[in-house]
Amino acid sequence: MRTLAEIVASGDVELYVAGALDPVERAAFEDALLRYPELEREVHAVAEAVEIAARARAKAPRPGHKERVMAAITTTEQAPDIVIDNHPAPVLALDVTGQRSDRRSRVWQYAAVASLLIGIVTTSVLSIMLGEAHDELEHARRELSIAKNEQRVLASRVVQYQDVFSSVSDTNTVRVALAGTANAPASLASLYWNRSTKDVVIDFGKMPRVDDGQDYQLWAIVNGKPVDLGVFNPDNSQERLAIMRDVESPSAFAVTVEPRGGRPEPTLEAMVAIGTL
Amino acid sequence: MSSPSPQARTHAFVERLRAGETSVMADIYDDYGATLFGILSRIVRDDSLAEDLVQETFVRVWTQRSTYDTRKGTLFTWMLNIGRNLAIDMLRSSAYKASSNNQSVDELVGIHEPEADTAVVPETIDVRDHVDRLPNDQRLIVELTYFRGLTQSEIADQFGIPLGTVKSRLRLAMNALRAIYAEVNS
Repeated sequence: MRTLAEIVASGDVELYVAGALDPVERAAFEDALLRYPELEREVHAVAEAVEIAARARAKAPRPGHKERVMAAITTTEQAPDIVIDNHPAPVLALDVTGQRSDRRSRVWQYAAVASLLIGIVTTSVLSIMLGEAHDELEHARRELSIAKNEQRVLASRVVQYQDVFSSVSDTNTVRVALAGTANAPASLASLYWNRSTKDVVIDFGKMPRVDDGQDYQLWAIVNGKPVDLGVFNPDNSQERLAIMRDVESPSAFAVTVEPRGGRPEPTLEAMVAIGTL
Repeated sequence: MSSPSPQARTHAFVERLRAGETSVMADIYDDYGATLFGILSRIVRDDSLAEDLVQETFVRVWTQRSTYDTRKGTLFTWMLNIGRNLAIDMLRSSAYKASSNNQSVDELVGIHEPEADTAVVPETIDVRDHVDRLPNDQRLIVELTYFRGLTQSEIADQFGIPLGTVKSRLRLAMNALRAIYAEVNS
């Protein structure tokens, strides 16, 4: 059995707080938690450091999110739930003092004990079955939640692809091939510009990845001047198509590599692809 | 006036959770909502999805409140583990992978600089400075373990180090972080 010092020095506390111990290690650690009250203090010290570090990553959700969360909690609260009664079955006091020791009363005592035992066994079995049902319900809830999220992702992507498809397949749309420059001969992208709606869609599936902290930035050349049409990144977007900003009367399009988020003016020496209309 | 410690906040919230006071969830949201959202949105890289995951985490905290054991960590770390597991399950689901151009989970939760994609809440800047005082490898191991949910063996693979070294390096990093916080608070 490990001592408190050995457990602390092993790094198990840090992994326990992360929920990263395997089931066997976790059970052993929780046994140790019962044995060593000081271990609980160590767990809390690590958890507090994690909490403080976590706050550095805070980012505000969109307005109205809190209300949605509270509405979901209220809805859950109103839904019927399974309640498992883990209280022990009531124990009846039997008169076993012998004051009424006739055979008939003894038969009743045996009957009472037998029915009590049957009751306890039945309650235990039901409790186990309810426990299993509860676990299954939790599992089903978890699966349903994942399925709902997947459905949302797929639905939003379908809508996005429909937009792109209708834009690209429109007879007013022209395709512009953006070929790699001497800086990046391997670069290749296709751009679609709609003369009527002015929509711009870029297919960057063949563009190489950029370094961390960098994005590609698309520019239209309008009256000889560059106009920013937004950034895209083959790594971050998880897509190969992007809808960019609309543009009136471009004569050419160019792609540069810029710091993440883009720049107001293009870095000409970082131009990697260009194509004219 | 300094804010109460995480343990004091946990204690106050837990009392109200145990009393079945629904309004405590609004206060917990005010305290932890943005932090949880920031972490989950970095895992799934999709703000709408992260909002759904935060919502599901809060619902679970409420429905499973009787299972929270104060000995096992702060309320926040319990919530973080629930939310992060939901996010990882989501990323590992087949439909999500199919919808993400077959990008692997390893790529999705892989290493990249912690601060690179953070949209900062102004109050967090001080704390971030403290985290930034850790050496790079320690900062990354904290990030991957607590905020990305990588397993020990995944981290060992990422760093090309033996499993045992993951534990010792993580402990070293957390000790350094605790020392920094202690120094700042003293």
